[in-house]
Amino acid sequence: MSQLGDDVLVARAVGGDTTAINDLLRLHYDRLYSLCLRMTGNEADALDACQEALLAVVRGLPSFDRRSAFPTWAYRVTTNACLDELRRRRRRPIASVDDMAAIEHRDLPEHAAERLDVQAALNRLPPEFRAAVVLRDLTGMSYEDISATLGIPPGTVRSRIARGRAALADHLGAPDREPDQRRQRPTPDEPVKP
Amino acid sequence: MTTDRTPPTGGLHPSDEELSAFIDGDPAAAAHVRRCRDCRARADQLQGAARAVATPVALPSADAREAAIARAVAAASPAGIGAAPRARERWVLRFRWRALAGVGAAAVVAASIVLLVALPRHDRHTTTVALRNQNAATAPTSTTGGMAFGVNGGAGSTSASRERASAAPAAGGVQQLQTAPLADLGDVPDGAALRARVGPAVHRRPTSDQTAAASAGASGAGSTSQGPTPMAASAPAGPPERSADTSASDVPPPYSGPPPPCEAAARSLGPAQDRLVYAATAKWQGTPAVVLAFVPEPPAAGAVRVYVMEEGSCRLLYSDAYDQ
Repeated sequence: MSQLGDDVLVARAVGGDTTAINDLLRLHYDRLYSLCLRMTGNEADALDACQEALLAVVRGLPSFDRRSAFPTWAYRVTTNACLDELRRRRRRPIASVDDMAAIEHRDLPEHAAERLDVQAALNRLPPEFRAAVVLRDLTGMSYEDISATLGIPPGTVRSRIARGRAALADHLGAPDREPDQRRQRPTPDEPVKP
Repeated sequence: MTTDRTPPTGGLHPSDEELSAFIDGDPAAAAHVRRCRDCRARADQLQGAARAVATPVALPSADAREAAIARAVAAASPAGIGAAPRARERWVLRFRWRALAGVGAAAVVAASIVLLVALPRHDRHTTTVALRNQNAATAPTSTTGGMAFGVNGGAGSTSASRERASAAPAAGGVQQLQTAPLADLGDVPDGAALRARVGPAVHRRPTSDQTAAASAGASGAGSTSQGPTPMAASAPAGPPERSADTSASDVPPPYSGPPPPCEAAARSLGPAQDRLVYAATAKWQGTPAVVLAFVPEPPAAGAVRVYVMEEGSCRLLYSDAYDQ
C-alpha cells in the first residue's frame, strides 16, 4: 500500500475509525510478525511480541507525529516490544536456541530447513546485534532510522550490522563448528591485517 | 577465510564493517572490491547473510492473525484509540482542558459584556465610524466589499483584524464580516487537482508565480480572493500577510481568516499543535468539503498536511502531505 494509503488510514484510525485501524494492522501484520519472529526466534514468543506490538501501535497512534513513515514508526514500536519480550524471556525457562538448532533438518522441506538455519544462526547473536541486522536486512531501514530506533549512534549501528552479518555468514557457512573456531577474519575491534 | 589475502595494491583490505557498508551502498570500498577477488568473495558472504535474514518467514495461521488484530482493535474502543492503557489519565486531562476552555470562554464573554456596557456610547460610535472608514479604504479591490481578515496590512494587521472582528457586533453594519465565507476551490476530483490548487498557496515563501497560481485556482472556482492564501473570499489584492515570526522564514504564514469549520476535527486526526496555514471550501468528488492545511511546529520539520473534511459531519475524506 502506498504511503498515501497509510496516511489516510492513520488519519482515520486516529479519529477512532475502527475499520481503518483494522485495515492498517491487517496491512502491516505480516511484516511486523516477521520482524518479531526474526527477533525472538520462535513462534510462541513472536506471537506474544507481535500482539504487544499491535497494542502498542494502536495505543501510540495519537502520539505518532508522522515525521517518519508509518511502517518505520511501527517497526520501531515492534522492535521495542520484541526487546521487552526478550527481556521477559530471560526470566522464564524456555526451549533454548540449541534445542531449536538441534531439530533434524533432513525431514523438512528445503526452504523450511533453510529458514531454520537462518533463525538458528540469528538466535546465536546477542539481541542488540540481532536487532540491528534484522532491522537493516529484513525491514530495509536506513542506518539513521535504526540509530533512532535502537537509541545508539549511527556508527555503532554500522558496526553492529557488520559484526552481526559476519557472524551470520560464519554460522551459515559452517554450522557444525563453534563461532570462535570459525572466526578467522578480524573483527571490527581488531586491526585489519593485510 | 581470507586473512592471507594479498591486497592488489599493497594496501590494507577493507574490514568487514567496510564491506558490510559497501553492500549497503557505501562506495568507499568499491574500487578495492572490484580489484580484489578475496574481498569480493567476503562481500558476497556478507551479502548472502543479509539475504538469508530477508528470506520470508513462516507466517502464523490466519486464525492467530485475525485474533491478534481483533484484540488490538478491541483495545482501541470504546474510548478511542490511545485511550486503552491510560484512558483514565487522558480523559481526566481532556476533561480538564474542556473545563478550562469553558471557563475561559465564559470569562471572555463576561468581559466583553462588561466592556460593552461600560464603554461610553460616543466611543463606540467613534469606533464604528473608524471601522467603516477602514473598510471603505480596503474594499475597492474586493468584489464583496468585505474585510480583509489579516490579508492586507503588514505587521499590525493581525491585531487590527482582531480588534475589528471583536468590535464588529457593536458596529452593526460590519457584522457580516465576521462570517465572511472561505474561498471556494470548486470541484476537486482528485488529489492531483487538490495539490495543484492548494500546493502553491501553502508552499514556503510563495513566489509571484505561485501567488498567481493560487489565485487562479481560487478565482477559477468562483472565488474572489486575490491573495496567495485564499482564506477569506473577501481578501483584497495585496501581498500576503506574514506575521513577524514567519516573515523571515521559509514557512507559510499562519492562517488568519475566519474560523474554518472542521478545524477541531482535523486537529483531532493528528496535527493538534500544528499551525493552520490554509482553509478553503471545495467540492471533493461532488461532496461539499472543507480543505485545511497545517504545518508542523517547529515549521521547519516535516511536510504540510492537508485534510479534506466533509462539510457538516467533518468526516475525513482525503489526506495528503506536501513537502515544504
